[in-house]
Amino acid sequence: MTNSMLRLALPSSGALQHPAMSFMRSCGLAVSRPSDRRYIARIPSLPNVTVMFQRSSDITSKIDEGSVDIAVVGKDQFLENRREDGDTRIILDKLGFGRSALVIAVPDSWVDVTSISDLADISVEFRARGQDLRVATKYPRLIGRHLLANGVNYFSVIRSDGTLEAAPAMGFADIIGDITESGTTIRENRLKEIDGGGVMKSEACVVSRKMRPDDETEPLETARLLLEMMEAHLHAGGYFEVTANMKGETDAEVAEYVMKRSDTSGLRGPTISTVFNPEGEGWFAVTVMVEEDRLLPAVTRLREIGGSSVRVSRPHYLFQSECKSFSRLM
Amino acid sequence: MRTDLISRLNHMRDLGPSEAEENFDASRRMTEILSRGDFKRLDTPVLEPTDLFVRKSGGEVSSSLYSFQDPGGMSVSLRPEFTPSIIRWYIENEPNSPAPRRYQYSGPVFRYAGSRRGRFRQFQQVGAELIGVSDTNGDVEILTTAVGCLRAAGVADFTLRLGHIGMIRDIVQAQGLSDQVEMFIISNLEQIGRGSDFAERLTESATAAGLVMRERRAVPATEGLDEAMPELEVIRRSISGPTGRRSARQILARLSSRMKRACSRSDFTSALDNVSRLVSLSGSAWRVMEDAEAILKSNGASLSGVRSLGASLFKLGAEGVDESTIHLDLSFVRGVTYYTGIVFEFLDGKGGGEYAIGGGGRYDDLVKAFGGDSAPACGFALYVDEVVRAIQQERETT
Repeated sequence: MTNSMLRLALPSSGALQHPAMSFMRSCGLAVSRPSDRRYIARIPSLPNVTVMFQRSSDITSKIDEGSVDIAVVGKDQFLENRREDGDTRIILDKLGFGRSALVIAVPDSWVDVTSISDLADISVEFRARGQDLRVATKYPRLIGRHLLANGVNYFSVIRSDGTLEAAPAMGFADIIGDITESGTTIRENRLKEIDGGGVMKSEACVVSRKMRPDDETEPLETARLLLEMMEAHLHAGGYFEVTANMKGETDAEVAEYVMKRSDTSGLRGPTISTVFNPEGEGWFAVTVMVEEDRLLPAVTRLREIGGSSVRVSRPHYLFQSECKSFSRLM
Repeated sequence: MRTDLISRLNHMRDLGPSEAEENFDASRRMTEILSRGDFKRLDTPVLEPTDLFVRKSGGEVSSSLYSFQDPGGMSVSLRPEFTPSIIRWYIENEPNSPAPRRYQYSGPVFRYAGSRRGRFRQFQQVGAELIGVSDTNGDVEILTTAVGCLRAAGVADFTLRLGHIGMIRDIVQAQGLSDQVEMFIISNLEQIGRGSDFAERLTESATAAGLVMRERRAVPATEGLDEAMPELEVIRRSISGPTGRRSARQILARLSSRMKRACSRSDFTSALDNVSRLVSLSGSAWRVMEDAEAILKSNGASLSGVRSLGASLFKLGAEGVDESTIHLDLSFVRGVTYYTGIVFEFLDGKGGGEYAIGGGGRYDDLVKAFGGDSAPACGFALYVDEVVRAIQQERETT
């Protein structure tokens, strides 16, 4: 085992900053940052981690160049900026925040444009006038590929980090390729989305550089602890723990009832324990893990087979037989 | 590991002495066959204007181009295939020479794509173009030449997968649908007949693309609709926001032409239905041809495609291409959009192996699209690395 520090990058600004801090806290990995102006912080529960606050748009390149080991970043930013044949990869997907979509939007007044195939036409029209269709975006790689893959051949990308939605009105671009959460900003700026213009759906994810298990200087053990906590917390979010009291002769008989339907058979099977009661009747407590969206069917089923006093709680962590994200690290 | 070592790029390949020798030998055997067939050798630049490759290539090729700005600011690309360069050369140098023109090429091409087995981002092609010969004669010459190259290189077992875009066009055109609708159907050919809801899905996306009229819009597609029409005047008044570098007049003009080329929902679904019947035909090649002809006939479609394919099949047999190596598949389209007639690919192994070792087809509109006078053309490319692999595989199994 090694004592070298694991360098974790978190977004220092933008839409992911606060949700990322809450995520860390909910995983039991609260970050202690003395002030917003401090760019280095610690995780008291995991002392071998150095937290480095970085701009979202810089995080991917920091991972690529090896100055950071692991990071929380938007999938869109990662796919746009990463070195594609390099050693970095997504090791934990769908952290449950930073949900957005990368879309292509055109001026609302372009009543003749409803789909991406119209844009292919328009790009030829522009070409015939000696111009290129101009696309303003912070995502030249993803937007450019999407346009080309859909037959829009003639365009030039205007790389802009400012407020893209104003670009068509200001005249420096014809259309935009940008991130949207609800589409409101797009509509308010008199733009519209088009059919086939959805490039990708994004969400925050954990990315890392590849680590070498045979290298003793690698902070592998710290990375494993960090990922165990994150993964178990995310996994737990999909389940409820449901416990009901049931009457029966033996635990085997109760188990048979409960396992007749998949709704109540749990992840591996129910846990059944004896409830001691003064009347001396046979009572058992049945506990099953139920997927989030199957809660009510499970409760209904437990009632049908005589379950009472149904208690529901959320597990905070659910550790699986192995930490999948850790195995992706190497 | 030494840290100052600069290693090869991912998905690129070094050929050591024996591999390089084997590739060279396979290429030499194939180009010898081409030379014997009077295909003149051309050598065009690896780097060309990007426009040459995006004009007709289709999304799959365009989005995998190695494109960049050269130091002078020009948008250039490494060639992803030879055909556009050869056609460009023909237009620039021999447009008026007596037909047919036969050209061969050999060299590396580049595609920035993922790492499917055996597909590197740089790979070697040997191929041929035949310009000025239409229909059956050209198709058969190209197919038998390609087969001759494979055999000369040492590939004994392969499957020829054969389709025909022309027949699909024939049946769509019989319904009087626009070129854009036809293109839409062809580019979605692989989805047609797949799953129970394909018609619904495709009709929906064609509607979104303005190719199929929405029920509520009562604009007849056949009647001319110009800017003076009252419907457009209403729309003109509703355009209030910024229009960017397009004028309201340009937007309306395009809207009008878009309305004109749209077809009715029932015409579109009936075209889909006919195409679906055509592409789902199966059985022996002759059986498929017979059934296809019946479908085309009952729709009053041109029979030129099916007849030409039938004649090609007959002649291929006479040229020693055994029927059992041909797999007729009318749902087959290749990644590029410029094909107009036959399309084909060679797969390794007798039973229609998993890996393509070459392919080609007919592209009668390409010369014109690149600015030349209209001339029929067809051709093929064989993937040298895959050909060598197929030879090695055969050697191992025998």
